[in-house]
Amino acid sequence: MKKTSLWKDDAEASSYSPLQEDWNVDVAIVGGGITGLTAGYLLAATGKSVAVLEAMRVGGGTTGFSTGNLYATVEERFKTLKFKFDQETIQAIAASRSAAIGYIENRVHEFAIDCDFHRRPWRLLSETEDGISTVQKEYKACLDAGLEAYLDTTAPLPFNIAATLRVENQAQFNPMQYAKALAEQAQKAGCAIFEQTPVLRIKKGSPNILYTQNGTVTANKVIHATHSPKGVMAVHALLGPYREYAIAVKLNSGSYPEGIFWTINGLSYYSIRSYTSRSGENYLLVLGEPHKVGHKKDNEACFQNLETYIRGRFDVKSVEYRWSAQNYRPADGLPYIGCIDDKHGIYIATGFATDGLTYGTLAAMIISDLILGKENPWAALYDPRRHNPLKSAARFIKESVHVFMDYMKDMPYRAETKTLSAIMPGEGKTVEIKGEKFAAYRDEAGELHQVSAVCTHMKCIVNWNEEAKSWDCPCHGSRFTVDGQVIEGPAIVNLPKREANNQQ
Amino acid sequence: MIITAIVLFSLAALLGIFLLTFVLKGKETPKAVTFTHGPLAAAGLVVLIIYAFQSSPAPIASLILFIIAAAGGFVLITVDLTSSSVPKWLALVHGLIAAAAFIMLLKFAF
Repeated sequence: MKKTSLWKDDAEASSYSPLQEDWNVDVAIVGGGITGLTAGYLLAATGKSVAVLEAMRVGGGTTGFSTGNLYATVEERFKTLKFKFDQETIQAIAASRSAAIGYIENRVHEFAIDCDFHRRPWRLLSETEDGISTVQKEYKACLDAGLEAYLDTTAPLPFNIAATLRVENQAQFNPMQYAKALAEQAQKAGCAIFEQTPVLRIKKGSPNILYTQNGTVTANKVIHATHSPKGVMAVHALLGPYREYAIAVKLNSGSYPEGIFWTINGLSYYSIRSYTSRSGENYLLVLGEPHKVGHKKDNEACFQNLETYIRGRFDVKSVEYRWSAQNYRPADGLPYIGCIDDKHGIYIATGFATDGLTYGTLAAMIISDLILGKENPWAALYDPRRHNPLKSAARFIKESVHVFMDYMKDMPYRAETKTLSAIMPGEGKTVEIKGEKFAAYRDEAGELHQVSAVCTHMKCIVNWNEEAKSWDCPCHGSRFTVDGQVIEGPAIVNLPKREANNQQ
Repeated sequence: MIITAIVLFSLAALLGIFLLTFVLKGKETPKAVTFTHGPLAAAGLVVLIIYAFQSSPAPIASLILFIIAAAGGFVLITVDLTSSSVPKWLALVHGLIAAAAFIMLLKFAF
């Protein structure tokens, strides 16, 4: 079994050079996922000078760990959003997301991108009688949103279904192959792409200056296409960071269902789809088991739960891949897309929940229109400066209480252990020595990796992620390697290396 | 009511002194203490404001100093959460103003 995403394993490695000199561009894009690459392509195609700065490899962040599903519906559910907003709003959401899927399809055809793009139905299914009303209500909401929806009692799955909502004409693809092909097209259009180039500091001004290890980028506009914007921003208080888990399995039967399936099983939700790799191998993917970042000690159990769930419904031959991914749930149910600072030209695209491939593309369309001075019909709907205090209150309070409680766990002279010798090979623990907190991991060879346990974003104490072998901040979702390097989230600065010098 | 304020400020002061030791050593402040110190002091300030409205004479000078200290506290927590380290001088000034306000309150009450 491979501990990586199926998408990353089924795409060639990209090879863009790191930034090695100073650049001056119209627009700097931080993050080379689907949002950043689409925006880079759109802006470069109109003649803007653009630079995309990717900390790892293009598509190597969240895009490469997603589901590869594209749909006009939303994780939050249209029924909930219609109750919070109105019918006009859910119609606009459905129309905007459909337009984004259409945009991806057009690019796939225009550039003949080999990414296994197919139009497929999306289904919401209840396995039990309890979930029938949920499906029926969402069916009505989908009709209200203007989608071509149907209510069925069956689905092409080998287990019992109580009710099914089907929305036709949605889509699936391999997000990594699409991202890499889009990067090539963006580069051809004149967009500069730099990999292995984490942004270390953004100095706002006219122009803005983005500092990296070996060069700076000066830009009039900056797009944060990093899923969660970098640095300290008020919008972080409106986001709840969550992790979800995925496995890809092979079946004995060779009968892989086509389409996007969201199943409701009691209080649990799962997403199921099939994929045929470029070598012709079939896989069944199942995703689910969400939890707040840094809030689950035994997250290996999430994979076991997924396996138990899928083995109970399919004749699973073997588990081939497993991975996890992060998403940010917005307070009022809508993502935050657009300009947050007119004076300095700062744009953000965040709060996509688990609907990021479609919302990411839509975000790029909206932001590029805003930068180019074009009218966009959905810019106001997703404006990050909108004020929806009542619609945001419940999740804002819930997430704020979580953050407060996480801060309150930072007690003086208290950590998971007082001595480094208590940390076994393969284990990571926070250690408190002489009033300082360390995050210490002992690798399988016995070597200790010690960094500060204080998150460089807003100083929560990081928690050990057993499954990913990373240090995860429970407050705003920043994640770091065992050596302190930023993996994702709002943190820009790495966790400083520390030597506790305590081997007792 | 003034006794309640004094008790709340006393508890806040103890935690504040504890926090100051971390700041002066250049170490990260334990946030559980930071987020207890602030609300305790804020509660004391609210009680003192209510007392000042209901009583005559009122400890106006002490109240003004506590309000200045509270403003400094907001700056400190913002800096603490968003910057790499808290300026020692700012923490000291905040503490000294709060201490002066507390002494004046004690003199007023007793």
